[in-house]
Amino acid sequence: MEIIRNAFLQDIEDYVEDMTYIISKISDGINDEMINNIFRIFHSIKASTNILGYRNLSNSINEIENIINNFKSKKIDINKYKNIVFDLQDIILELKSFIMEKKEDDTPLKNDIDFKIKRIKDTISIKEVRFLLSFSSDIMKICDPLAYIKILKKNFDIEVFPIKDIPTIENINPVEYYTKWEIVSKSNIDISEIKKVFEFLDEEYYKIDIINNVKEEKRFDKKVIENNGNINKEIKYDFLKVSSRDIDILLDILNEITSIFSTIKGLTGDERILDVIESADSNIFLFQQILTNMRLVSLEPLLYQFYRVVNEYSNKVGKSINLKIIGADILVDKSIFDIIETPLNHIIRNAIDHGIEYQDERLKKGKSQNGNIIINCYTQENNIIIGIKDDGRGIDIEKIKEKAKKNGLKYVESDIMNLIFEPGFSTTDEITEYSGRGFGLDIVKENIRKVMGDIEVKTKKDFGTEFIIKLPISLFITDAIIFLIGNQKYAIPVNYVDKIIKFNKINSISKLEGKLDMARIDDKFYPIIYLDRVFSNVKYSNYIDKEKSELLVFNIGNGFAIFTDKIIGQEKLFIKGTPAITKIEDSIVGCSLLDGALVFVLDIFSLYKKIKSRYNFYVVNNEVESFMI
Amino acid sequence: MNIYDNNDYIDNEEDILRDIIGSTKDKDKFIIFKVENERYAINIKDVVELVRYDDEKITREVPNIPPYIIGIMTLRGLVFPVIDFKKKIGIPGGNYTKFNIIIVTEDSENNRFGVVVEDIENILPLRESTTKPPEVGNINVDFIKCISDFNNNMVSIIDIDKLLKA
Repeated sequence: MEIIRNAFLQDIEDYVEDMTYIISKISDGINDEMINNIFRIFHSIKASTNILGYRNLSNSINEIENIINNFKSKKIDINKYKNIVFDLQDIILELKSFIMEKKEDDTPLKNDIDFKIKRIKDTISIKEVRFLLSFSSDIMKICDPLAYIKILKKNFDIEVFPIKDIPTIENINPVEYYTKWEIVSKSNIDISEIKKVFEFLDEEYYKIDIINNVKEEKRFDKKVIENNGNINKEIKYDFLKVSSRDIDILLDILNEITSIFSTIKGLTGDERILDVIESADSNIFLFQQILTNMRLVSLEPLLYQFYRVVNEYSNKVGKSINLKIIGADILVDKSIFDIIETPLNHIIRNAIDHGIEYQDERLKKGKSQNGNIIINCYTQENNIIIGIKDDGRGIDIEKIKEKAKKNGLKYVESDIMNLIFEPGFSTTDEITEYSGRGFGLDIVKENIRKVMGDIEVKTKKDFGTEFIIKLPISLFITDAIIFLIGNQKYAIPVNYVDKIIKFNKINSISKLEGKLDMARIDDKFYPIIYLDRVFSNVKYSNYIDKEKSELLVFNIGNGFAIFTDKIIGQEKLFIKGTPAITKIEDSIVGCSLLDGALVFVLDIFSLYKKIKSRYNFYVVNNEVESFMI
Repeated sequence: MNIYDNNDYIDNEEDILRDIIGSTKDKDKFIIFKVENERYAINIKDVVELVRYDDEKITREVPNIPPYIIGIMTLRGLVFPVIDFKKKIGIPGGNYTKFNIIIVTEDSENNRFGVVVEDIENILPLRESTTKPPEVGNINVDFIKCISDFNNNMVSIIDIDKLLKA
């Protein structure tokens, strides 16, 4: 039973995905294929609940199937009642958690689902119409009553149940007809329409009675009569579900194999052996790529649920907002997928809450009545970009300045927008328009940086706001600049590095009694950061002989340059997360093995934070305003 | 008692560990090691493996590591910090060679790290007590879960979860 339950759970997850996909297309209208899909989903759910022994549930699901049948047969246009799809998804989600919790008693869930069914029925106002069709006993002399039943079934969406009303054996007349028919319609039909079928039959031969209650047990088995049970064929999937941990283990093992080969390389001078290793290397690289790709998942299911969030949440706050999603089929690493939902949720809810104006305000400004939110995903260089754009009122820069002054925060004009990502900036709702719910944009930023991404914001008053989230394509393979400090190699992802400059090519100025070195690069001044002042246990070897040294220039914050002994070059690094090390020093996000030596991959943002607290400086108008070491 | 023969203990240490784990169904067993006449114990459930100390596999130049961490070890594609237990308890660190042992452990948050000790004295079932260690000087003894007793000797049981934090 456990196996069936687990298989069912996996199926349900697929159903949830299917439903979110359908929901994503909901604004373009629901077509036949979608309805068929929904029908297939609930049909399979019914079967599975039956197998698991949840009879009550399967009865309720059956009811849902009947409702969907109304849409399928076009009796009712589902496009008028799109919200039903959300309700149906809710039911699947409830079922999922029910199955996960391995509960025995299905009545609470059944009641819950029944309540939802009643609500759905109320919205589409399906009222069951039942009537009893009886023929006179000598009907067989005139015509075949079954022919009428067939015509009825053909022309109306009804279910027909024969009712046994046979007299005791001694009273039976073999030529007489005894069967009555219960006709159940799931949609509204007019009795007079039915009566038209019997136009050519004298009224004395048949009788139609509308009934309210019919004893169920008198019905014959439904299947005998039902002939339209053509269920869509099961779709076979060519996929295996593998835990991501297993893939991680494979990656670790592969990494070890690589390092063994590089050890052999170092030990031997034999050309033939080196040849063999080279061919092995290319295979290993391929292997690595495939494994990395296995960790990639589509953003689709995650993004499509925002159709729902926007739909429901905007209704709640009384705004009407259209959501458009572009490029949702982009692939990202599983760990990015896991972490990105909360930030997106924050940003979108903020846009609904504070960004987009109420209808009358929009009309006054000459904007379209409905607000728009666009989520746009695309790849750019080595990054995945997710842009969340709204056409609301924008963030009021003046208010940010006011707040910054109040808090004693220093800023540069070009950097002002980044203040909204500072901790504590977002908690007071009257200051920035974007913060009423106490959402911390600092937490959003933190989350994104955990996966080596970045976020920026662009805004224009009354034109809207755009948040741009930059994410690495893979957390495991990154192009990075490798540099040396002492004997230790460090790496920083290449897309964060702005420039690499030889130390002797720049004009450096020593400021403030030699305590702060400034480098003049392209008419801009950058403070030179010595990592041994930021970290303990780091030793430069070229400290005095600076001529050989090189600078890594970053444009983060006001810009700064990191002093290195030597820049080794750019390498495709295979990064492994090392939680225990990150716990000791959070600037180290991961490690990598390069020619058998350990390379520390630095998170430039937490490094920047460290630098800022260590060297407390602000560059305003190309001059150092204040500093502290 | 030394559970290993002098020469070839490294070869079958994994087998030994597996045997021990297999037989601890009812009672927790502990790896006991001695530092300066004091005995310490680590629950075998927290232990991933025992490996030989290998200086070549340890990178020492790690930014901002606390003094009690020797460095970062690379082992079969895995990368983890190694704690010098002597320094952790506030005495001068040892000069370790390949005859010393690293106990590779994993805490409840799946953070893997090694603890280097001179030798393992014994592997025994122990009962955890409620006796807390006394505060001595300014050395943080948070990572000692309790002090237990075996054969009338004191054994300090280590709380792996607090070893890396404290």
